Amino acid sequence: MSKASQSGAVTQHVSWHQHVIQYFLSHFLACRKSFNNLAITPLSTLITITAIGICLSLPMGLYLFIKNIQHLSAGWDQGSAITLYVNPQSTTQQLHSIVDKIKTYPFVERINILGPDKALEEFQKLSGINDVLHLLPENPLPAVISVKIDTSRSTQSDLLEMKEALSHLPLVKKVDVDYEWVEKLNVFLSFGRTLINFLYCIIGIGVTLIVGNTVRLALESHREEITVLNLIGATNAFIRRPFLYRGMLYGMLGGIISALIISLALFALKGPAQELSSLYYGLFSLEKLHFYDTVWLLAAGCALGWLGAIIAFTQQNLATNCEG
Amino acid sequence: MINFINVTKKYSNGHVALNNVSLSINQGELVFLLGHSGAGKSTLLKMIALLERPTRGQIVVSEQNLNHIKSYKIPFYRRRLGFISQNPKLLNNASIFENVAMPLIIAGYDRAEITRRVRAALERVGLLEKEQCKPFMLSEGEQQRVGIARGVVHKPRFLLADEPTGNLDPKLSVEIMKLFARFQQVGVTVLIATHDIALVERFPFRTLVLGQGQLINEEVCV
Repeated sequence: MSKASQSGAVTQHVSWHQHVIQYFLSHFLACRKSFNNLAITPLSTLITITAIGICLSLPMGLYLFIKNIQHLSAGWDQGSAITLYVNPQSTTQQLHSIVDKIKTYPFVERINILGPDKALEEFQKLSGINDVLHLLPENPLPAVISVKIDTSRSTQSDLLEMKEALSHLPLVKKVDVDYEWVEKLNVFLSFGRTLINFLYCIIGIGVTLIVGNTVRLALESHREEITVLNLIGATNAFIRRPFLYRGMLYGMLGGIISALIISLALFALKGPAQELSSLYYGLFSLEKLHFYDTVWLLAAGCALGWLGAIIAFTQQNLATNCEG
Repeated sequence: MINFINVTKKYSNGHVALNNVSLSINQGELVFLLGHSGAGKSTLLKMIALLERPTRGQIVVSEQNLNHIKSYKIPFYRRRLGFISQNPKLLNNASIFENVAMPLIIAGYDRAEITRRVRAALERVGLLEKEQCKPFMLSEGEQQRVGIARGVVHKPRFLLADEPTGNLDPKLSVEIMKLFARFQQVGVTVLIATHDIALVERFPFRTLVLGQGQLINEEVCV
């Protein structure tokens, strides 16, 4: 046997832990290479990631908006209830007989009685018009019975029936159902959530296409390199790796840009939000981009970038094979 | 070492690149493949490197039928050979050292081994002092030598060279051929495709002549 074939050990015998080290090392090198490649053309990289960032900030912004609205409704959500205004002259015993009537409905969760004096006290506290109230000869406020409803066990028609029945009781002046309002808000919220899901899909496809197209151009400009790598025995995975990292980097940097855009928007909205907050007795506070949301955003960006890159690579590979 | 048995390659556009070619190259031999452009030399080399598959016929390399190698195993097969093309296609943003190291990085060699082998390969082509240069700083002849170093750094059993002197002047061409002859002396099987008859005649090696996709003549120079 010749000298060359004796020494021509192209396959190196390595232990499993060396394999693992090599595997991670090759990933590290591919990652570093793709980062360097992005740094070579900073301007076009910036344009691409800004485009991705703007795309991603759209559904993310809407998500935060819906979350804020939910936050706003949370205060009233507990009040999804029936409120009875009872004649102020009624006695405690009379009030309790009404309560007993209400208790017969199966979906009643809690009943709260607010006597006229208590009601006045609360009104004073909230409105701050003490002096005017003192001028009145007697307490004008009715006794209030608020009934909390388990909405999961009742329908709207149940509540309307209940309202009808209760308003016919002798001492009851008025019955209000605020279920309707909450339901409308919930419909609005579910509309918003559907819209977000739709946007997630559309924007997801958009980001995938942006990254795919950019990576396709990169593949085109590295065509010679890929030919050489192919020729010297690089596996598909080895050739693909830096491009996949490139796609992931695009997605992740796009995610960072989008987080910045949203933070900027939140910063701009800070003033108006404080005004809103004071209007709604502190019920409304601007929801920030949480750590969890940011991680989620970056992960989604990465995944979409990876997907775009792998689509571009597969497409390119198929095209090259067809040519051959 | 390399056997072609009735190999035909017909492209999808109807062009027949190789027509019923049978040939045999022994281990440790240096063989010239002579022919005009379009004679099918490149196709023949590409088929040995599995860049192309034959339409009909069998190619057997080191007792392995290439038709039976599955696509995902092709990269590992290619690591056993060295392919040198007319244009070395060096990576311009990598140094000479990194260019030559590429096949070893792909095969997963450790750093010390890579350094040792790359230095040895560069020394063999006389470019060790330029290992930190970038490809554009080198002359064409030097770039081709870097391509050769990259082709032999992993100590392949056989070398395929497709017009390795196509871009070079006669003096440099002879030098490059002498380099190939040295690899043959240490036992590497070498197959060189060229159209340069004058160059081929200066070396005492077997020459296969291809014309219009067929083997038309086989000369044995002694």
